[in-house]
Amino acid sequence: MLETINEPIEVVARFSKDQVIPEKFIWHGRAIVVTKLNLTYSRFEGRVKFYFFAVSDSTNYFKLQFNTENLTWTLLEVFSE
Amino acid sequence: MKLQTTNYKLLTLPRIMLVDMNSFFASVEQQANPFLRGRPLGVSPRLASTSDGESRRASSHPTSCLIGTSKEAKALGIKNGIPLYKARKICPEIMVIESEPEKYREINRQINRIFLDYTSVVETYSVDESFLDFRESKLNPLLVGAEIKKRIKQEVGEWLTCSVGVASNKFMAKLAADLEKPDGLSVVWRENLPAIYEQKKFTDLWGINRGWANRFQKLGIQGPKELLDYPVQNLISIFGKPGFYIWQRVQGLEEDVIQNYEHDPKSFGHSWVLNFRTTHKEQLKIVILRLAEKAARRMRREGFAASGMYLSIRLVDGNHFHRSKKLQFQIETGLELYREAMAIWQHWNFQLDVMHIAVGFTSLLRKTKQLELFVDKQIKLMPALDLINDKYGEFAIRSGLLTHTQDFAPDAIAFGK
Repeated sequence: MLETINEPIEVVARFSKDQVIPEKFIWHGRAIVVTKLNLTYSRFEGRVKFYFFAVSDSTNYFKLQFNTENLTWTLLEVFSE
Repeated sequence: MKLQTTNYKLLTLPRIMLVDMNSFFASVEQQANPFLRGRPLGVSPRLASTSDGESRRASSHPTSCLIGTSKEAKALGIKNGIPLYKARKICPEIMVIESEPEKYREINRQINRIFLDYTSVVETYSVDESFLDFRESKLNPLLVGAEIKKRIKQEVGEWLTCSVGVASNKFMAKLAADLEKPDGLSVVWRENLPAIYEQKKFTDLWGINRGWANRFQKLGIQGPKELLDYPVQNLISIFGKPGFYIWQRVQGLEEDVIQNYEHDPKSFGHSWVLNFRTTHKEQLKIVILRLAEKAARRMRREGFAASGMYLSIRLVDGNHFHRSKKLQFQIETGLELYREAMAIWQHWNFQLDVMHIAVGFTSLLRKTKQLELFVDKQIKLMPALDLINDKYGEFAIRSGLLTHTQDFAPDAIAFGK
């Protein structure tokens, strides 16, 4: 089921040669380890650029958003079976 | 991936390629969310947000159509454009989610960057189809096609596949790409056309609509294979130049110009399949204004003004109202387009609910820096209003008439056949 969350999270990310890879994030006190980065894309809202990371672990999909203006991360949606 | 070609022809490969992403919208969603892979999936137009917090789980109007379906859904007979209620009838378990146009545009840009590594002549025909021209290149299009397929999977997403067609013009390249879906790589020469046309109706071919199919059938020409042997002079004497152009297309004799990545548009417009149904003209006027403002913003951003416009309405029974007109002066604002649309609108009456509205600018002209003596106040304001909306987001500042219309005509994306 796909669920909208829209909550702030803390993220540990790796900056590699040509991409940013979220590796782990904390949500409701739980550390979720990202096993796969599936898609990265971006868009502007006004002048602010947002990056979106579609990631998953073994049982869930998560959509993370990075706000380049205030450097914050948000968990936007979760899919679980 | 099967490679279909004739060995003796490898030395004289044609040089026009079409890359057609398979089930693009649904495939991008399945790439993003691996738990959607391998199952029937539909992508619906962006809707008004629901009240229960489930924003991307679609609860569309029953007559809304799916703008994308996964290959698993297609295998069940659920094709692009099918109304949602029909899709659910075929497969009650089908998962339907809202589209995210910015996601598909971004993936399209990532894919097009790969194309530009092989040729600078790339025509983005739609968000999921691009033509590449290798006529001035020494590269082998078949090897390039295979490499492009591999790089899309490696660099953009492993779930994304495409069908590549190689031929001597765009029409035949499209025919070639259609030969194997998904994940094909095919070459078509003119000599292959009789065999290919055995399985095809006229309406299966790019650029040939039901109107032409009916005209040909009245002449006793049942399908494209019969048209191959039909005397062209007969077609010209009956249909004039259009008859020759269709004959030329079906014969595979068109000579194309691949228009480069950036080329001048012919129109700027917006359309919306409504998320409600009504005959109430006053309620629908606000939708037209919003669509007009969106089209105007895009047009001004590209540096154009217009001296023509169109308005188009479709009812729930499929009937159309359409009018386009040339203007004696230039327009460039949403309000100007809206006023011209209202001059047409006032004469229309709808017996059945409206389901689709489209409005736009035509007869485009590049804006010059020539100053005018008498300038409408609205036009003087436009640069300032555009700057505010650029900084704070679309419709951050807007006409008061557009209050409470944020759910009308959300971002949408065009796609090819």
